[in-house]
Amino acid sequence: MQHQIPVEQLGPAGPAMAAAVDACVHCGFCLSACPTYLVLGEEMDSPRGRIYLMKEALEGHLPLAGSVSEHVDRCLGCLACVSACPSGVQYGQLLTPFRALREEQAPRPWIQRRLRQALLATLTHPRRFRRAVALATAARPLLAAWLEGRARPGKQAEGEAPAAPGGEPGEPDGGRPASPGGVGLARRLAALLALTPPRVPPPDPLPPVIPARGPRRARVALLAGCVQQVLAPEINRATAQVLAANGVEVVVPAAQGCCGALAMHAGELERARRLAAVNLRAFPADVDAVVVNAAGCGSAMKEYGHLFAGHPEEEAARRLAARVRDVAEFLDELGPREPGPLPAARRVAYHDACHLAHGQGIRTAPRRLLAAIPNLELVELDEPDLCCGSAGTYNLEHPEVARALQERKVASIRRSGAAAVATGNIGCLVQLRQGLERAGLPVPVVHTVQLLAEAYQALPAAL
Amino acid sequence: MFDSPSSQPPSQPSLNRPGPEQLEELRSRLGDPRKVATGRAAREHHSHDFSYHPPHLPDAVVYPESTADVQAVLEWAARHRVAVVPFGVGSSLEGHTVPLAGGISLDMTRMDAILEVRPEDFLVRVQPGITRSRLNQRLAREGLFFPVDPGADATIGGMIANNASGTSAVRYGAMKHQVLGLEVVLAGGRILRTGGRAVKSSAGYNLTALFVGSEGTLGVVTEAILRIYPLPEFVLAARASFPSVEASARVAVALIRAGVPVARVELVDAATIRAVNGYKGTSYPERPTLFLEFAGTEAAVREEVALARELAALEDAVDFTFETDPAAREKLWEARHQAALAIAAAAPGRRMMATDVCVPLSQLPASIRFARQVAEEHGLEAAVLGHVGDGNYHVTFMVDPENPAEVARAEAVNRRIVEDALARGGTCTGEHGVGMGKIRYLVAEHGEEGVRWMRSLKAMLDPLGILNPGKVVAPAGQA
Repeated sequence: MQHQIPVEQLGPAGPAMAAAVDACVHCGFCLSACPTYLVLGEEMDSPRGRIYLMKEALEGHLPLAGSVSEHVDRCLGCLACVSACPSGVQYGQLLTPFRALREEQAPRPWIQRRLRQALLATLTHPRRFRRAVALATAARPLLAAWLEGRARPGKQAEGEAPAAPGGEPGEPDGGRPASPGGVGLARRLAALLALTPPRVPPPDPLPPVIPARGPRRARVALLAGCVQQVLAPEINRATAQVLAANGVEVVVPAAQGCCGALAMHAGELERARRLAAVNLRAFPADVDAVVVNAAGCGSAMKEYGHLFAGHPEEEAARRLAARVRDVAEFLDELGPREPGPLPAARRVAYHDACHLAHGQGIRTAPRRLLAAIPNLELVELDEPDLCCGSAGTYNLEHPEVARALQERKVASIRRSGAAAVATGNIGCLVQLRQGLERAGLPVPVVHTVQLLAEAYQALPAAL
Repeated sequence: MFDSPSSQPPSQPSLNRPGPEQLEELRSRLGDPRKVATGRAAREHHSHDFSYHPPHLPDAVVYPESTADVQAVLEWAARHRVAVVPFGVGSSLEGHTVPLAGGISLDMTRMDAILEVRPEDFLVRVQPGITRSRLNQRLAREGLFFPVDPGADATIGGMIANNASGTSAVRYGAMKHQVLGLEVVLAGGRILRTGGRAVKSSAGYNLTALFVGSEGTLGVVTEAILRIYPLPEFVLAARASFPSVEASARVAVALIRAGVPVARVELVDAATIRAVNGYKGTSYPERPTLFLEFAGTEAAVREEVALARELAALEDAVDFTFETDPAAREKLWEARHQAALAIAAAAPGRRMMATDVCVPLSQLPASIRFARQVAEEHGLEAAVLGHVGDGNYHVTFMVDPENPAEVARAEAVNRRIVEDALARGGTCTGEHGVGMGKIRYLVAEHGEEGVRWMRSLKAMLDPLGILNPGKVVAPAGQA
């Protein structure tokens, strides 16, 4: 697309943003891949429409706030459009800096900003998050009743915009509530509450070193993560078991922290860099890989180079990014040892986490790993790589769209007849679990490595 | 022989631009303000298609969600004499969706339901807004597919409107061969249902065929019954390059003559391969290349491929390679699939002009030779690629729409290619349709009498001329 974007005024991200706009030939292949377009049916809620709006805003023809931001806010950042795009438009490299620019130049209302920051500050620190969940759990019955009254869909809470297609970019007075994105406090809290588990599992920290079983084939460092280690510590445990069973020594650096993905995708690049800088120092250089078992984190860490473009840490960031591997990717490349059988035949559906399939291009590795497990029948969902609506904090900020996608995914799981769903990201896992529970479908959702751990445990030399 | 090209929209004195009160009335008729958008971004997006034709803003974009909505819009439009232009994903190539008289761009993409899949009847009933890739995603579950594949991920409605075809038309035919029945909303809001679920019928005039290829000028399709096919058991893709474009075209013709039911046979010239190499960083031999696909039972396919190799060898083909693995097949076809985008990417800021003449098969090599010659004479960087199995090929130029001399030069080449094709008994458009770009060739192709009857049909079905005015058949004296 032709443009007059003032590239030099946009800092280090400028050229990549302009290149993304340049490369778009407006062909429309992205439309049918885009989840928000599928749900809302509105051009301006499609990648093609958003690229156009972002171009107009960057050129100064449309204000950054107002409806441009609403449409851009509604993007899940799932990157399905990048997979679908025949012209190779790097949409993510336009979206992330655009969101950052928007936060900087057209700040949200004070209350929204505080809430976002509080949320990010909580989610990215396991201890704070654990406390918050415990608190929410204790207060649940009371809060739920109160929120139920506040958050009825018909009731327009303060600063609340319906997920409205047919918007009037550039004409914020076009007869709709002029509110830059997001939903009211009450509904956001209600969504958050609905996602928190009824009780938090006890912490299960891994030892700093988990030795390889049998001859050592590799040595890796593991990202312990933030949200995941609170909600599902068993995933890290399973990852360590599977790696060890494959002759991999695992080190878990104590000094590591949150990878910064949530902040990055919310456009809070400063916070993201602050968090990532900790990891630049924490992860050792003398490992074969830095293994990550959450797709969103892996995807963000592979982009550390972009995050630090023009900063003194850029070189260190690129070096770490080059070592990052998703656990499925790593095992598949290593050549996994033969797993044992599941105790009984099980039909398992695999759901592509967006940041694994679209963000990192990893589709076949997890399927190959699962299909190699005796007694496991792998089935495909109708739309295996359509976003489930989780997308970081998206399900808290746009619960309607998130819910529509969740229900669509649950319906396809139901049709597949699967007895379990495997996926590679904690966000998807929680979102699918909640959706299935809500639909009364008793299908467990697990991380791919949990099934692998079960299979390796069946071997006589198990951990 | 032809009038000089005119980029001026034909005047439509009888049509009105809707005012705010009229749009308000439409909003309340549709019961949901979100179905009518008047913002600049939405209108701008609906002002053009994928081609070089100059854009023109509609006054509003309307998103119907049901047949009743379409009815309401067309009834309203007739009452106020406002133009209505149906719109899919906007991937047409002759300015079909440009709202020359302003009015309403009717975006059909929210009507995208698959209403019925009948695997045992090999039928599917759909709304027009569904795209072919989504339809195929759903059909794959039953081991079925819908074969028509224009390059773009077009909507089924857009494909019906343009009688689209693409790479598999050589085996399955164009859109008109797949549409068994339609629900159409006519200009005043009345509903017409044509055809049915039977694969063939001799009952009366074929009204279905009248609407397939009518480009939104006769009615708005709101439902379609389509034929679908079983996915082949075994697919093999092959690629071979040749010393000349004519040699590769001769092989394509020879394959058809030998009775090989080839699934796809596509020609890409050296210039295009060069563009793809530049665009994708690949290193395909920069020579005229045939892309082939064979599909069926494995034994049959193996035999067909052996024959194809022999025929190719007779024309000095080199590097005959083939693949059966889906990912490898896709890789092999990449140069063909990415060709148009590679050409577009090589010329940022320019827009595409693509001829799409179709000639009798025996005339194909000579027709392509002529086209290349003319392009070279005019000093135009042109890429030739085509569905050579059915005599349909494209010469693609990227033009700067702001540079009238350049547009005129490309149009002159376009005109000579069309004149030559018509002289050979061909057509000015094999699959892109008439839109506003080919209007001036209709009389030459069909004669005064033919076009007069087309105008009469248009006048009978759309007496006020509100449906996609200025397309296919401009009023007499304006073409």
